[in-house]
Amino acid sequence: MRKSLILTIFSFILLLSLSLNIAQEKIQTITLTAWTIGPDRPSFYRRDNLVDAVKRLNSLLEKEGSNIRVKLEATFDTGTWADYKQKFVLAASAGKAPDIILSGHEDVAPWGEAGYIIPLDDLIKKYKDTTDLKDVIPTLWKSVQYKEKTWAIPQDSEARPLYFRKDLLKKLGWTDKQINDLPKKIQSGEFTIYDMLQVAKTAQDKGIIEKGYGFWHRPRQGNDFYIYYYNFGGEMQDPKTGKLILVKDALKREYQFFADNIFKYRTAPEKFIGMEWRIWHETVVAGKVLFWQGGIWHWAEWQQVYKADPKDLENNVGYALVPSSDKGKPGITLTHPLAYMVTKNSKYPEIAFRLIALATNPVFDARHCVTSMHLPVLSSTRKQSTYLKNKFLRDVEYMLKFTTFIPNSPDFGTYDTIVFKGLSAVANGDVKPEEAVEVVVRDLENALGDRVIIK
Amino acid sequence: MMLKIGDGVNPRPKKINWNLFFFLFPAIALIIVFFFIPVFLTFLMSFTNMSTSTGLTGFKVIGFKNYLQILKSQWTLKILKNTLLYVFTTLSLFNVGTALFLAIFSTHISENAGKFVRTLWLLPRITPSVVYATLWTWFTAEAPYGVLTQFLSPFGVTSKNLLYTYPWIFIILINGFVGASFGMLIFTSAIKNIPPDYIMAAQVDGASTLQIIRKVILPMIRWPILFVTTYQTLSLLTSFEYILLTTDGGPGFYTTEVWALYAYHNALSNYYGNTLFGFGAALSVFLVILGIIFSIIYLKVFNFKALISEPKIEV
Amino acid sequence: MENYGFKGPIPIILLIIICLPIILLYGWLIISSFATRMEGLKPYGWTLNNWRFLLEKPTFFWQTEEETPNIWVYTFNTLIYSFGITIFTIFICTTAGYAISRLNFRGRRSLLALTIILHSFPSITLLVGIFVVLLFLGLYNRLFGVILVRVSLQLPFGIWIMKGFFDSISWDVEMASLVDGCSRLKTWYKIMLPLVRPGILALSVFTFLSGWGDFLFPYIFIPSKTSQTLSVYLRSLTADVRFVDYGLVTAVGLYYMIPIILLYIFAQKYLLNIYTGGTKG
Repeated sequence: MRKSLILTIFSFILLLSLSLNIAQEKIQTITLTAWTIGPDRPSFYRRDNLVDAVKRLNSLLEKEGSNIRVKLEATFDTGTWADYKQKFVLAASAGKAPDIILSGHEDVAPWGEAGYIIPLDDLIKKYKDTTDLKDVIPTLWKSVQYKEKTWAIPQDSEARPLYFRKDLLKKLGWTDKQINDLPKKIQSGEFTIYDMLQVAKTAQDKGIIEKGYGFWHRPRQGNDFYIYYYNFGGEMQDPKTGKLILVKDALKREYQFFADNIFKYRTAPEKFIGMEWRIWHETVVAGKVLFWQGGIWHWAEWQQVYKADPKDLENNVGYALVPSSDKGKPGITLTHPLAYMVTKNSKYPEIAFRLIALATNPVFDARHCVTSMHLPVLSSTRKQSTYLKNKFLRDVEYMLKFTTFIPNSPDFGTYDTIVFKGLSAVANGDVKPEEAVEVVVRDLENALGDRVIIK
Repeated sequence: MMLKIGDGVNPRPKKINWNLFFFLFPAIALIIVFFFIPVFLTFLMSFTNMSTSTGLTGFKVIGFKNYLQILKSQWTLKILKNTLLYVFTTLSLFNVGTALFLAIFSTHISENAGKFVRTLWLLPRITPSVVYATLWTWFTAEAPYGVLTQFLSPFGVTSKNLLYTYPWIFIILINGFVGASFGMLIFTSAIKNIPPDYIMAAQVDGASTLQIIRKVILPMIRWPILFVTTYQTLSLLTSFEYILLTTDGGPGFYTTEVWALYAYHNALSNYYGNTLFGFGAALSVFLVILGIIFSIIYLKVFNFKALISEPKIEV
Repeated sequence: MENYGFKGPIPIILLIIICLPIILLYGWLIISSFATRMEGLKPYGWTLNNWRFLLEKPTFFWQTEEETPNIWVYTFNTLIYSFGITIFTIFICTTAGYAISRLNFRGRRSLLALTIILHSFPSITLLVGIFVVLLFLGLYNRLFGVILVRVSLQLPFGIWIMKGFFDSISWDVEMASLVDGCSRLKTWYKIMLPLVRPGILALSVFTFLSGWGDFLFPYIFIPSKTSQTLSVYLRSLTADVRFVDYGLVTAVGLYYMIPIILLYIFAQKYLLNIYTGGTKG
């Protein structure tokens, strides 16, 4: 009897203390770290969207009755991509990587291969319906897939259009209707890329623009050159094996085009590749160039950094897809999405995943798009009022239908370096396009062996 | 004056080891840890396919494949030639040539003017490399932005990106203006240590400026010249930062790519983030071997043994 | 000592000609730091705005005030880093330089030859190897580790220069001290070090200079935010090719150089001692 009483009291105390314990169970705060990068400064929401998503995550956790709360330490880098990636790779191999890393979609290939980041398919399946992930534009998911797994959540996208001066075309005798129809004609393939050079040359011959100011492409290494490669019939990756592809004829035609631009039509100056970006922008903003191809984020940059008059841009600068190589083929552009990834070092991968999933919502997406001039990753962002007010973004949005991507392959860096050197040699006047192609093919075969397919 | 204590009169034979340990251990430890081991690791890495996508653990041993790739590459010879052109042109024109010129003449004008000239020439060395590269890109830019084109346009020079039109000239100038100050300081201090009587005596004898330089000054600063030549050859051999920040090895096919930059491009930097540590390591090993060959040649040619005198206390 | 002057205007003219590019380059730098925009050497308008970073925290509009260190914090970090390197370098080079110059041991000649060969090892391309070593020693992500790496790179030059200074000191001095009963260690510390003070000062200035300009090592090997040095800050201003504010870059660049220029002007006397006695003539 006495024994049982003691037992009862004891168990009662035990129960009480247990229940008290649950009630006042200590809130456990975990700290997540995230690295993000612009490098362009207006893209700071890449970090701040994560920071602001913490509140949402914590209130969700509270509702769920979880005792976990999240604190975030996030950085926004404005250094170079190369340094940023190098730093991450070393940190990841030392086991000191942050929980979340933002990078270009192409990094899922080397980083996924090395095991620095984790595949997110299961988590996406689990949370897709309760978050805005279901609204992510389907083509963007494709850009973050490698070896049939999804490694990241797209953070933003863009397009790389052809810009043109309407006032200069008018001086050339074009009617308003002709000028306004140009984007459509480019989209349908009625106005080709060589038509463009011809127009530029005529403008130069008539003295409307100076010699060498007809068509400017980007002056430094970068993704934009693959627009032209795709345009002239290039293929980049074998969907089955993931091997990179080089189509010799397409590359030759691409090189030929850039050579023609400089040496035949003389619509770009000699030694054009290597020009300082600032000079490029100032010249373009001054209205001296007839056609030029840049990124949609330049639109913000010209106003903020180069003090372009917004009225002048609105009235006198038009934008379209990059014209196609042949009549009847639609115009083309290229998109390079950035994406959030969860690293292997993360002790709380699911929490980290939920944070980036929550940061991916139409409100945050819209504010990032309008401040940095990027295109949204969510289809629902298009209904946001902040986004709708931005005429330029709405105008270029359709380009995503005509877009291409660079491939996800660990060998792409090697490939790109070799192919760009060939272009640079042709544009510099060192070699003929067909010679350059032969040299490039030899280099690719030496560097990649059977990991590249030459067609 | 030269008291020589032989082995027999060694005052503290038992302390020797501890002395040596104290004096040499820190340096030797650092040399082993931060030179030998990394070189050894790099050597091992050069036989693997290590890259970002394999990580530091998931690599495969691939034997001599990296070395074979270097040998088979159509650019190896060109890059090697570039390297020699870069090292020896910059060295002779600037790191030794201009350095000597500056040292000799800045010590033979008024003291303050000399100081001013030397301070001026030190500026490139202390300028952060990114800023220094910026200075040159704007110096050589197209009209109306370029400083040089602004001065040359009255003479009928057309507006072009001069850095990319004459890449080698500017690569050598850009590096040379930084490189000259090292030799300049060492030569200046050596010249200042020449007893003035020597030069005055020659002047009294009616020797011309050139004769004084050739017959008096140069022989007196022979050792510093040899030291600077050796040291700066090796510095140039491994340097690439200013090329990276200006032409980045371009334009075209490896026009201004030197070996160190080639190794850097492959081992550490890659536009799309998959850096080839293994291949880069093979390139680095090649560079280390090149450096060792150069140092041995210099040490032999300059009769290095004479540099080190016998200690006068055998402790 | 006084200058004894060569005759004729030719040397002066030649000096002016070869100095001209530097004057133009740095003239552009100074003008640009006070200009809104430049065309050649011609400014488009004057402004003090480029120097705003001295008064404000260098916050950009995406950063909140409290988390960004101001320019003085960057400067302080850089000072600590450079001083750390200098102190270690001096200690190691004075000991090793002394040993090579004065102590008798086997392999002395080879060691000196080795130090010059070490200079041909490409530190940057050995970066991955160095990284593995740091990781193994637990020095990755620590300031101390990066300082040690930097010190190692200074060894070839430092040891050679210090050896030259020890060589130039008369053996009588050392002998007298040893006869008085001092140990080798005490002799080194009490007698020799004060005598090579000009060398120590000269080497300090050179080492400090190299630490001040260092970028890649602190950036790569200390990924945590507290490592920000001036060079990392400066790099972050220029790395984004699309948004470079050249006015700000030139102003920060000048700010970065001013301490070194001052140091140099005050230390020129010592720097020009670098080859006193030197190796034998």
